[in-house]
Amino acid sequence: MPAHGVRRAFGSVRWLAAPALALLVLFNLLPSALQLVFAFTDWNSFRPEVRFTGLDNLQYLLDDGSLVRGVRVSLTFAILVAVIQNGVGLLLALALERTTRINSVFRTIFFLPVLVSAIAVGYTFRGLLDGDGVVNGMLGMLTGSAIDQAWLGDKNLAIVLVALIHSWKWVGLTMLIYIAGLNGIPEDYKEAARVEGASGLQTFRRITMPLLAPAITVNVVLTIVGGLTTFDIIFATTRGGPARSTEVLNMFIFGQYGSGYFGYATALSLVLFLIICAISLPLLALLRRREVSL
Amino acid sequence: MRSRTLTMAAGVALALSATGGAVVQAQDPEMPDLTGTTLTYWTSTTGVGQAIPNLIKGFEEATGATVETVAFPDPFEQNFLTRWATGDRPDFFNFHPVYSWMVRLNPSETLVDLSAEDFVGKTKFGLLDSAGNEDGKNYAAVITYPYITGMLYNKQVFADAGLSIPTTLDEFWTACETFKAAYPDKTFMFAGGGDLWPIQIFAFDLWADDVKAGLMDEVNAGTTTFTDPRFVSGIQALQDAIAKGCVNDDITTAGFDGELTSVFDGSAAMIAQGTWAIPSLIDANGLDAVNETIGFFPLSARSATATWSVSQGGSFFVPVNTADPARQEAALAFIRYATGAGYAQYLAESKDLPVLDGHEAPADVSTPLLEANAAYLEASAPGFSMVIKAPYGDFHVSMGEMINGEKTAEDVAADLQREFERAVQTIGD
Repeated sequence: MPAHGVRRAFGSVRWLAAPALALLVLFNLLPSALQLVFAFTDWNSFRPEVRFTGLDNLQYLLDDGSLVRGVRVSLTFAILVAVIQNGVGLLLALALERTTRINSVFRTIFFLPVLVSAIAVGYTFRGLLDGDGVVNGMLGMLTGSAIDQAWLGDKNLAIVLVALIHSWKWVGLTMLIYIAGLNGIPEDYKEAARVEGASGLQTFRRITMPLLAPAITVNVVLTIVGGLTTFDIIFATTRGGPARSTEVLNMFIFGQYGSGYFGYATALSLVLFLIICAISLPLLALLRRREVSL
Repeated sequence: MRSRTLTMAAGVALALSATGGAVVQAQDPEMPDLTGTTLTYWTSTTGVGQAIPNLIKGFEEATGATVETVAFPDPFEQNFLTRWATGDRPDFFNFHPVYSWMVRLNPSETLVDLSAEDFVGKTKFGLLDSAGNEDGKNYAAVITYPYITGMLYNKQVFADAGLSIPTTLDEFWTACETFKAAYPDKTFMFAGGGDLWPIQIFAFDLWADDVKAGLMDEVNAGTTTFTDPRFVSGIQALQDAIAKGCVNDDITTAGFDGELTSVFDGSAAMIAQGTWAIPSLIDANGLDAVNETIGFFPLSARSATATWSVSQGGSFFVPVNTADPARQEAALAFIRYATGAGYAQYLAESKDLPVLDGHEAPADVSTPLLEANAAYLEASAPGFSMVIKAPYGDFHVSMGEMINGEKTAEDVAADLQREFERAVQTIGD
């Protein structure tokens, strides 16, 4: 069929995007814009009327100390996740770089947790790490004495454990991105290095890592943003406890929303959004510049 | 041949199981016919055992209605309120009939005023003057007897240790010293700090004397704050108990379940709990064992005063439904059933004491519940949350921070005061 005949039949293709665009505006852009409005009000569940209160919410946020704590916990969690997920993801990618049958099987296995619901993952690990859970059972078998340590009840260990659980769930995605990056490095470079007498480690440091820069950029930004916006896993495992040691900002926002302080919760969400921008945008720029210079 | 017989047998078994095998109850002619109506019911996952679900079933059979139960997991209040905030409404629901919680639902606009219903006049103790009450209007039907808090204790352990029942906080400390000397391996008072909510109860109980003397009127009027020593001392008591070795070593990780098992098996002498815990003890161990092993005594700072409160377990509200008045009426039919035709069966199953007039206590009410009731009728004060005029934040979370060494009792009191002031300001005039 002649091309212009088809085009006449469908008109401009751009109009086909209209429904999707409408949904994006309604469920994404509009709420984001409204967030900017409601953050400066005292919208709550106790009274039907909503009053504009300016910077009162922000003032309370700072006076309260909860904001500082929430940011500290969120940043700690995000950094832990970024380090663990990228470290393990890179190791897995190096191991499963070549596309063989058995590598494909293992890639699938490591990717499966990405597809599982975060809440399900959280509840499962909560059960495993319980005082009477499987982990203690296995440790008991190995050491020969009964162990009933409540792992998620340790206020110093809980944040590390939750970061590990989060990383376990998402490492498959990080791994795949690294594999794509590794496969994009021409074999000739590594061949040339081998001929020149470079060791495996030297090849990795001088050839692989620099050429992996785009994948590193994507993964570092994704893992940090993922860590800062986490909620499901923390809700399912510790609910922000023990003693608020895992109360990331999203958990705190949920609590405030549940207590009926909607305007305040919206202000907190706005702050979280600004923090994420403040971290991820410069980071992205920095890593991109590194890519170019390498 | 054999396979055909098997298939027939399977078919018969299937048919029998479909009809339930037993006799299906006929619809009650006194109740409205609600065949074809589906009502949505919101509740908590931690309720009153099987008695309430069976009450729902009884209603379904009596009217032909279908009730869809949506149970919110813990934290119940937060999960409930988040859903409520979206504008979603059930046909009837459980919630705390306590002013500081109800205010978050905006009752005058969103809830049906039940003041004219029969049950209001039949509810004992003038309970509905405070429970479910806002501005003199009744929004809740309460079918559970007030919960009474104090100490559930192991009678055998007390007898073996030669302890007498403490009636003041000072006597509590003395008894703890005696107990520790006699039983260094046992726990004097077991506390499930890992679950957070149980560790509030000790403070609530110790505040009873002052609440009875009018402390909450001062707080509501703004003439005193939570940082007053009368509050701080009650909060500090748990920290002191940890320092003196009167509680379990794993208080920061133990749970409510641990409280129940330890007080029953005798590894702990007592737990600071309420009568809502008794059905769980009975379910786990049987009524006779509980009657023999568990007792109740009230304890406040300076006297043996119990604390009472009403919780969401058997408190029902009906949201206003202007879009479908027939469904609102059907929900009201449930309220009338729960406080009328279905109440006797609820009592028999739950072994609860009657809170509505015209009903006798079941014959097999447990011993600890009877002792708690005696304490309630003798000397009790409302729990502070029953009479506070605004929410006060997450006290249990602050207590959790205290037992984990992150906050002092003064910090916890300051949290309470800050959240209370914020809520008062938000509710406005």
